[in-house]
Amino acid sequence: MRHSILAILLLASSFCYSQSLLHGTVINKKGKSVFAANVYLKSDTNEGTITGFDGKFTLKISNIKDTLIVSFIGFKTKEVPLASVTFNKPLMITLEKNAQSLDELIITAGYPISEKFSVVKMTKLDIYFNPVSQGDPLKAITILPASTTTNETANPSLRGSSADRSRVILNGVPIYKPVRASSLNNQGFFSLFNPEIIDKMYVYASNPPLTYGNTSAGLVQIQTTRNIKTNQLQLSTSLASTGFFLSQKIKKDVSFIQVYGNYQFSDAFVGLQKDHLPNIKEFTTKDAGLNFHTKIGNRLELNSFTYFIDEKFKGMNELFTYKGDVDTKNKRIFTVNNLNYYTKKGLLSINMGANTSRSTFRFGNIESKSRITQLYTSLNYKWFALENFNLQFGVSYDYSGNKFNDSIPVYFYALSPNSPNFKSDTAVSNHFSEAYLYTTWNISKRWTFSTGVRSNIPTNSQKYYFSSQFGLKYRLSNKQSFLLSAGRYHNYTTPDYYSHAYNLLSSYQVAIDYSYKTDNTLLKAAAYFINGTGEQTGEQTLDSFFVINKTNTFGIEFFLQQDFYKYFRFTFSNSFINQSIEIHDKSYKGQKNFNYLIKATLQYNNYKLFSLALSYIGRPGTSYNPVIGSTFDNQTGFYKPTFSTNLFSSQYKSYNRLDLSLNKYIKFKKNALIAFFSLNNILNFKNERKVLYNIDYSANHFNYFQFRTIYFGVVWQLEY
Amino acid sequence: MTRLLFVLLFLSSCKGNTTQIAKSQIVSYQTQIQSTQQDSLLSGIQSKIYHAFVESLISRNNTKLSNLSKELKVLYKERNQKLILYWRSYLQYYSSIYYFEKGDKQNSEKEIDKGTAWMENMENKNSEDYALLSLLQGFGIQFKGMKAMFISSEIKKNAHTAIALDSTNLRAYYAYASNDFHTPKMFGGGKEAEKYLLKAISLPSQKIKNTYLPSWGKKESYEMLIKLYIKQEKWGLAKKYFLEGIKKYPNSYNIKELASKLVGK
Repeated sequence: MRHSILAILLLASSFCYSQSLLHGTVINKKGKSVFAANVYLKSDTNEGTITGFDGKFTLKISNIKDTLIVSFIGFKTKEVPLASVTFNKPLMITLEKNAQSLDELIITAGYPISEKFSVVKMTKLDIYFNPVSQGDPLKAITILPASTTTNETANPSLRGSSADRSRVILNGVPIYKPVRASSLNNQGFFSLFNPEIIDKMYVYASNPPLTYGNTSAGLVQIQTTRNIKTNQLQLSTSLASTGFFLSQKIKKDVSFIQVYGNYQFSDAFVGLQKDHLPNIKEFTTKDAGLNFHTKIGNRLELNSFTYFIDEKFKGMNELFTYKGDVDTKNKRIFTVNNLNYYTKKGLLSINMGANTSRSTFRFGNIESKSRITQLYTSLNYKWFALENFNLQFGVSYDYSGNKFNDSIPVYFYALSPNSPNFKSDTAVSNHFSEAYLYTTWNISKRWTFSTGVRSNIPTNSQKYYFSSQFGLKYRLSNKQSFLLSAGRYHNYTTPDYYSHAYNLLSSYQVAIDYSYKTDNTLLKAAAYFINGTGEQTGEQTLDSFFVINKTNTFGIEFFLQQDFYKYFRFTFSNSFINQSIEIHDKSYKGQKNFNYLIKATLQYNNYKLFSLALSYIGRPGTSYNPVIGSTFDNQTGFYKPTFSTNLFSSQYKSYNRLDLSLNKYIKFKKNALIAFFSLNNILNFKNERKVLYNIDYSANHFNYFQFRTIYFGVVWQLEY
Repeated sequence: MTRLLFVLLFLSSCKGNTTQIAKSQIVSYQTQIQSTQQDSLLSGIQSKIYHAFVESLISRNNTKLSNLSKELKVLYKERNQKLILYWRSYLQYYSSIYYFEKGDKQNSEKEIDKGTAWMENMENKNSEDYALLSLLQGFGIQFKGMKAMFISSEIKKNAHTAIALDSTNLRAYYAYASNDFHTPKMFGGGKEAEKYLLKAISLPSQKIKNTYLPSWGKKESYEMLIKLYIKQEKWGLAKKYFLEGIKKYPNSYNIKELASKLVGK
């Protein structure tokens, strides 16, 4: 009997033991085994095991009322009540990926959905250390082969297109004419943006994402900073300016404010090099900016940026045969406000902008006064739908109103103050609403696809238009990638002195970009074709006489950046641009028709010693339409020019410029001093800017771009 | 002789790197019945890499590290598991330090770049992957000259993502702090290291002990925190964390070494 009881107990214990061995496999949602997952018991976490390469595990279970816990990095922890498990069958446990956390979402949403399709991304440091930027964000772009700005302004012209076809977007709001003193005399050496407030800047040289509208060329997207690390006071003084910048946290990791102001003056700058600045008599500029950022709870974020500028300029100007004083004044204030709300799977944002300006331009018998009012609102939702598929959609409303009070010369060639003129008051406005949809799809490790559509919602007599684009990126290897992009785009021109109208333009663009990147080498190449046309009255108003109907631009770009000897960087780029324009159905050579557009820089950058940069740019001169004769006009007492019928048959001499900049950084405890010096156009090249004539047009001479000038200053920083 | 002493102390402290995990903070399995891979190459791999590194340093010959690297390569080819790629990259980190200690900066850079590239190209990175990537980039930055300032923001972004993916991962905080600690003030460094290191030492090395997964970072966080306070001449805090650190990691050569800087302060 005793033996029987013992045998029963042994059998029972062996039965129990076989029941307590649990076999299982851990897989992910795609059915792939999860290696190294933790498998343990809730009641005693010491009782556990780890899955093998095949995701399999075996665990001894002593209490079937317990709960099995399975966990792995990046996956949701899974609990399996053992009571529900059939022990004689292998258990299959599927782990789900962790839902994106709010913090992760905020990081991801901070980048544009189209980031992979931008040609260049720049940070604040990239701007400061850019050899041609002079600390200006938009000037930093001019180092790129895609930048085809030819008038020394900071207003970006990309891939041969006119500057008014491209747009600069600040925190989702377009900033039209984003440069200083952008009046008729076309200065605008610097942009309106202070690099201290910038977090990232993206450049889409062509085929920009249709998350933004009103561009038919390229796009520059600027995002202001979302956090500051320390409080900082910055005081600066230089040959032509003095200013301050203050970054102050209001509530740690929640809100901060950035305030800055500058006063620019000409006395020392012009006085020191009067001979090299023949067209400048005096200027003063006062500007101030305020950037405020705050978080409201975990999900809501508000950013508000407001900027004011008051500019006055007096100088000399020449047009045709008249030379005289030019006087410009401009006051402008704009504000860009953003409200972001992070949902579980995306970002809802409202972007609002307002801009108003008053400017006056006087030269000879020309007087132009203009008032501009602009409003912009957009509502957008960025949806991280799937792991490899993102979507953004939204609507925008853009209003512009321009009032011109002009005194216009009766005879375009008679410009002296006493020559006849007439008054013309014009008010024009334009408002358009658009809706868009943009997606990106990471097809595989190598292929990424994006596509976007955008159309206006026409009102009254507005023409309906529909823009569309796609981009296909192929990663050949970790170092090499190709980007093929194409699209049809639309934008409205910005009214100016010559054209008081909002003309609808369009373009077809196709481009292929190649990139090769190693630690020390960056090589980029591109080929593109852009066909720009005017949907209504012509493509682009060139001046009083001509309206270009069509522009065809074919370009090839090459860029090499090589780092060597730790502190040296060399860049070289060249572009070939074949551009033709159509006026009254006749084809002519385009203004930006370059066999070469060479840009080269050499930098030495050792923050412990100093930073030095030499930069060179060389290209053929742009084309212009020459005067071939004249007739005397008794009524005005001026000669009337006769233009060549072979339009744009003359060309300015080749353009060359070599600049040098030098910076020294000195740090002592919480203070830092940055001394900077720049020598522009070192070799004093006489680069022809505009053709001018003697009184009867029998001889010509030229107005020139900037001669050799020096500039220097210091910035003192205090962190507290 | 000094080198030998250094190496021996290093060897003695290496145990602390992997096995001196505070018992109160982690749970260790007493029962690990199954797993044909129990004695596989990957079991306790962090410790294996570290020991191979120390042995390579002592012998001034990287055969041990190189052999381990080859074994991992074969295993990766066979299994194609991204965790193996993680450990291959981690090994590259030590291989780079090995060459650095030998004064061969060229190979040191090559080794760290290789590991960094692997991690950069890894798909579906988790918090641990981002933390390691940030650590590798942070070590490699010293070779990058003028590019350092541009890489710095990328490193911070990766460490930040590691934290966002798992706010209890101490290696993510350590990687962030490490980068901030080594970034020159001119480029915005040295402002956040303290906050992140204090957070790192408050977290467990592993929530559940797993011999295949990483557990590094805590000892290193103590070392860096003490160094930071010494640099800032906050002697009271430096001493406090020295005592705390040495109590947890009594064999750490690097922590012990800092004692000389605190004497008389």
